[in-house]
Amino acid sequence: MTNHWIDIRNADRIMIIGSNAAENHPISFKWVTKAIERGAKLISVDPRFTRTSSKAHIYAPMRSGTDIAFINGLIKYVLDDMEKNPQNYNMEYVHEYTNASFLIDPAFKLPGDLNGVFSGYDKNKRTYNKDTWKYQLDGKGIPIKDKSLKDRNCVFQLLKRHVSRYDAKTVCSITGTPEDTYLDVCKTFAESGRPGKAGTIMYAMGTTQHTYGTQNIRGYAILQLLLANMGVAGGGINALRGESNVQGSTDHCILFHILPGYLATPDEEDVSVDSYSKNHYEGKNKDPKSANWWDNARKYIVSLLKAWYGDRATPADDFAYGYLPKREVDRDYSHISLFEAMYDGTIKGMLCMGQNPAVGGPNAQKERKALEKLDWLVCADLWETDTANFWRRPKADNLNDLVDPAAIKTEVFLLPAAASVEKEGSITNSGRWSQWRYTAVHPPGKAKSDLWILDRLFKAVSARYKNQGGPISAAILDMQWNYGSADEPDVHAVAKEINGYDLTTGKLLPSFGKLNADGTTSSGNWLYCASYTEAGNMAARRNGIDPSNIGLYAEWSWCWPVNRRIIYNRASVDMKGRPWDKEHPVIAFEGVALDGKYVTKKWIGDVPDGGWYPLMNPDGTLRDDARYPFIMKPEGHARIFGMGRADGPLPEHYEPLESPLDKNPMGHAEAINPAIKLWHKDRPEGNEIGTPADFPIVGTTYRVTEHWQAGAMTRNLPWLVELMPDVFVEMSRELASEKGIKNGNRVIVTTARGTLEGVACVTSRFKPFQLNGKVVHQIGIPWHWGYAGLSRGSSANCLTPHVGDANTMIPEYKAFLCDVKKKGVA
Amino acid sequence: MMTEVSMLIDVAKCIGCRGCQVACKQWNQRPAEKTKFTGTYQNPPRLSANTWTLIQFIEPEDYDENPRWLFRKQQCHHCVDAPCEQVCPTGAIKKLENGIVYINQSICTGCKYCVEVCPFDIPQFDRASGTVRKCWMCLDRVKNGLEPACATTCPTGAVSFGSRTGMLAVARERQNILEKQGFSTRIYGKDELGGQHVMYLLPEKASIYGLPEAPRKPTEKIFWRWLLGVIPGMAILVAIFAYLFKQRSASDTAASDAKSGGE
Amino acid sequence: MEHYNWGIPVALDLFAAGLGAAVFMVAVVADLAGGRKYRRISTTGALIAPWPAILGVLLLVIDLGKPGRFWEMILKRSHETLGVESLMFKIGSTMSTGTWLLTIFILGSLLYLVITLLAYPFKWAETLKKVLGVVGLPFALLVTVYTGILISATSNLLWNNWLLPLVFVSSAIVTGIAAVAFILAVLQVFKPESKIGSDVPRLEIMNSRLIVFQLLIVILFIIVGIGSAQMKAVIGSAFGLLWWIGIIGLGLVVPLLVGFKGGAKSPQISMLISVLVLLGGFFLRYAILIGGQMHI
Ligand code: SF4
Repeated sequence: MTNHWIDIRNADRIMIIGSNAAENHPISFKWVTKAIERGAKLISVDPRFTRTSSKAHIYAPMRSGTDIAFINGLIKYVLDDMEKNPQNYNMEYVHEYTNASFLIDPAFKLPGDLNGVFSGYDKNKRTYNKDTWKYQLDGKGIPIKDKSLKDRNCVFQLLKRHVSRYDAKTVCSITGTPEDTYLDVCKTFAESGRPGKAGTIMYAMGTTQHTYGTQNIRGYAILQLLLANMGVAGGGINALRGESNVQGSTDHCILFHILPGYLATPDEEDVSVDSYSKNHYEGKNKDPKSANWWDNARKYIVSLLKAWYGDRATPADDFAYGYLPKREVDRDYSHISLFEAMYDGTIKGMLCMGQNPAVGGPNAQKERKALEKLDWLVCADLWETDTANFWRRPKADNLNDLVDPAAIKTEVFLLPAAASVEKEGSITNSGRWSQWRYTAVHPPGKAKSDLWILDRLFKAVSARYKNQGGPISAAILDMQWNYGSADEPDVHAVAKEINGYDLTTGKLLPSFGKLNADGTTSSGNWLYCASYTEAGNMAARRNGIDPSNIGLYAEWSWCWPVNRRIIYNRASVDMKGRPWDKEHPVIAFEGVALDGKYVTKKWIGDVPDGGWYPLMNPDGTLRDDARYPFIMKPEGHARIFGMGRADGPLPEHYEPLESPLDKNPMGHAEAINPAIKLWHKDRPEGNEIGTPADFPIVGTTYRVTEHWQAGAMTRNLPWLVELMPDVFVEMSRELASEKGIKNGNRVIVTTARGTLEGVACVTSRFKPFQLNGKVVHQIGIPWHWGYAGLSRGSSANCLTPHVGDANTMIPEYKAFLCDVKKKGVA
Repeated sequence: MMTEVSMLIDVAKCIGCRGCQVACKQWNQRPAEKTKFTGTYQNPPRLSANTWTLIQFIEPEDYDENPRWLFRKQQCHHCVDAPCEQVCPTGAIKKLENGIVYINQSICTGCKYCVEVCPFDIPQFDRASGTVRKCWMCLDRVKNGLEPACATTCPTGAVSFGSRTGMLAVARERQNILEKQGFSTRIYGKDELGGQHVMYLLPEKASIYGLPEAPRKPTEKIFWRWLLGVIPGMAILVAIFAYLFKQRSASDTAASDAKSGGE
Repeated sequence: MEHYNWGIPVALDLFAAGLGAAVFMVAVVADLAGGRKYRRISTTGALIAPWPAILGVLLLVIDLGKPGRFWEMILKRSHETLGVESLMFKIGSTMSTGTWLLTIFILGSLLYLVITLLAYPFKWAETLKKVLGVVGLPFALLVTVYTGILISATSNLLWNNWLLPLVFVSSAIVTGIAAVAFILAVLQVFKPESKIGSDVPRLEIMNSRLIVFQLLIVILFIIVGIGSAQMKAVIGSAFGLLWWIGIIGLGLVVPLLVGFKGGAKSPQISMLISVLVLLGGFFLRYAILIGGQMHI
């Protein structure tokens, strides 16, 4: 989240899209409810009417996978309205804080002009050469701007041209939203663009789990920038993370492409700290007024190496940088790739901690088969999960017809793990708040904390390397590992290491501003530097006072970065440092002015995104010692035009890999995202793709309040099983009557990859979509079930394909093609 | 005198997450029921001796004109004028000073009369213990200064707990807010059955939620009911008397007509 | 199978308690109306009256979730100490009033039985019998009414019908007469040479007139309750068969016709007719009790 949970209460408009927050993040509704009480309007966009929709002022149905059309239409509405009623929008924000005014290379082409692709597309490699996706620079290397936003090549005009094709009628023929509802959404949400008003977008996996998931979010970002909703209280784009600590695990590099603190993982070309820093971070900005925070990355990687290798990380040795594993350039090591490699037998063993891919992974039947190819599998979990149980899994949807365990050679180890309440440590919530928790009860039996398990594992592996040697054994043996001598590793030592030390004094560092690139500081995660200081464990703070009155609660726990509760908050004030929203100021500049010029620096409120002077003096003169508000971007401006993405600088509507339509309804040649990897072409085995002729119905998956993720934690709890005892298939009354299905019947859902059996939930809350005269049905299935545990049922992920987003490789769980019939009917 | 406590269920705020339903089972250590998915999210299908509170999931008939999905937390209303307490033949049901209506498990004989009398179908017979059980508003928690478990759990504030006057004030305030936002509401339980200690702020007709629009105490007018049985009963007896009296001689005839004397 | 809150034991109680009380009333009224002339009727009635009521009470106790605590309906326990505090009596609770009514009735009817037997050798007892009968009458009547009030003063949509007490009262009297007729007919069959069953046709004729009334009441009961889905289910679903054939057809219409034809032609047929009336009476309680508890 750019903002945080409590801040939702400050919103005037809330759009929940790609999320069913009421069901999957019920606690968020504490704040949504408060906002509504204040008079906020809630918009729920979802293929079916959910518990979230039940609280919304406007419910807009939308076919799964059409978010970009939906949002591009909204952007068009805003741009058109901006022209007619500029007074309703914050134009200063748009041209001063975003890259709307930046001029783009004239050779750049939009998909509207290039039959569905941006300039630079290589059809054979399915990748883009991004040479034209760049700013025009002046002689000093600074981007050229046109603050009037009139230049044909400025981002604003490009965006306008780009979305001009997304008029409401076209949009609704793609999304299936009734046009009047859609216009109501546009009008209502656009009202959050008024200066002093705020609108937030809450999203989750319904947004991300598409082959263009990143572009979905880009769409939200563009919309929110045009509406001046970034950085303000009650604004932002807010990713509701699906697990209590998934934010923390991402911060601490659970994904393959990042090191702690979102530092890039080095690749083969990054041969030294120097080349790593230069290739990824340095020299990207020539504008003296841009802070370009990532310019500091060298300090962070060196401090990280110091945290890991301690005294072994010396300048002479390039801080042991050589020990870091390097990835192949452009190779992806994400979930799908790993399982494909497992399927090939390339990967021999897997440590599976708190994850249950046999239920949670896409194309689950294939992934279960991939597990068979492993020599060994270690599962650390609270229960014996479906993954740990894969060797006695059902062959297909009949839960009692099992595979032959004797034919599977994988050796499986099950380590009982402690639950979150059974150990001490921090949990970082979606709002980036790192909250310290204590052991409430001791783990039962032999269950151990993850820290204990990893500690023993590391020690055992080290001993093995010590005794037997091995390739680059020094990378292990030189590692600094000081977490006390007690049975349970000292979790505070870990937290302190993450914060980092001044190695010259041995003191904990107060913030990442103090990190150096010369080896005099350490920090296990620069973003968390300031979380555990000489003043104590900041995450353990429990002071419930809120002088801000906007719910910042600055002394309750701690939040990255540097306890800044709302990031990009420098955009919440005008160029003179005065808040746009006088009622809910996030920060405000209160320096003293003399003769129309600020002479002292003083910000109040939240920790500002950089404590520099405001861009402008009270007398309207610009200051040279100021910095642009979006400090994480080299140009200091938020990107409406985002050249960093693999699949285009602006979002363009493509269909899901499996689409009910035979061509892109935007009328161009590219039906699907042109930059995604096509697993079914490269590796057809087990990666079948269905066509609308065989599978005319759109399928999607989701969660319910009553169960959690792959279900091991909840399908074993009788109280929760009582509430949701079986997998169900939600469908419209229209589809049910077409298929002769009655509410409560058992039904079979089929895709090109697998089948699922569940109970029909026939409801008015699902309606068929009318797409340009064509009726498209959709069904939805919760994906919690598997064959292990107290409540057993078919896994929805036996239906989903192996295909991922062009940027992140997150699997496309949310839209696929299927068919449904009553069980027992041919 | 203890202050009268109350719970306010602000139906418009309920998101149907059922945290309350689980919290209730957990605090009161009621076992899970074996359920089936039958086509609705509502489960267990109805209240039972082990399910003291239940979220009803309602897709109204007129969904197509006015799409909505309604949730109502079902539980004991803790009536001021509690019919269950009035009919309990052993006095096991007691109305406490703070307004909580609770069933003393050490006294209840399991006659199940309250089960049939409650206008809201709340008390339920427990075959395992042989007694009747229902929500007791977490009396053990309340006595120790805590809110009932469901109120503590509810993420949205749909369930709140406090003094009856306080809750009424909150309800009126919410009513005003909702009024301004275009919804007219009813505070159900304010006066019904002498007022109740669980009040609902209902944005729709009570009957949509399965609540009687005008709940009646089944024992009211009971005297007339007795009379309606007694008077015609007496009339029948008089009729029988008259008939037999008139037939006395016939009886004699019949007796003498009989061929053999049996007496 | 669905578990009903109140099942067959309660249905039997509603039937038996009403029956016993009605038999008592028939005995007393016959005694008052004809003295020695109706001695066969009044003595039979006095002999059988207590037993169905006792059976009913036993069934009620068995139906309790905690039968061992049945005495709490008479003695009140303290919530704090669980010790006995006082007598337990609640005027507003039909269960409580019913408990007392049944207790008094059972004791009274047993006494009445003894006095009835004493009246054979001792003349003085005859007067006493009359006095006790008159004193007992209102209690007996209240017992029959109680069976109806018990379930009608509830929130059950089928039961909460202001005619229900009367349905039960009139049914109780009809079954009470049938019970007396049945016993007399049985004795007649065993002693074919006696004229012990000579009152049976008269009872049958009398009962047929009451059955007309009973039918009217039942029809009114249906009309009053027809708004509820429960009532529709009871007269329409599987219960419909029981209702129309068992209760109305065999239990009421057939005896009615026989009565209007001047009574059964033989004691055997009289036995059968009485059994039909009795069964009809039980099924009536059963259909209403269970029907009201069906989840529709
Ligand atoms: S916890 Fe609150 S919001 Fe959730 S179902 Fe219960 S009453 Fe509704």
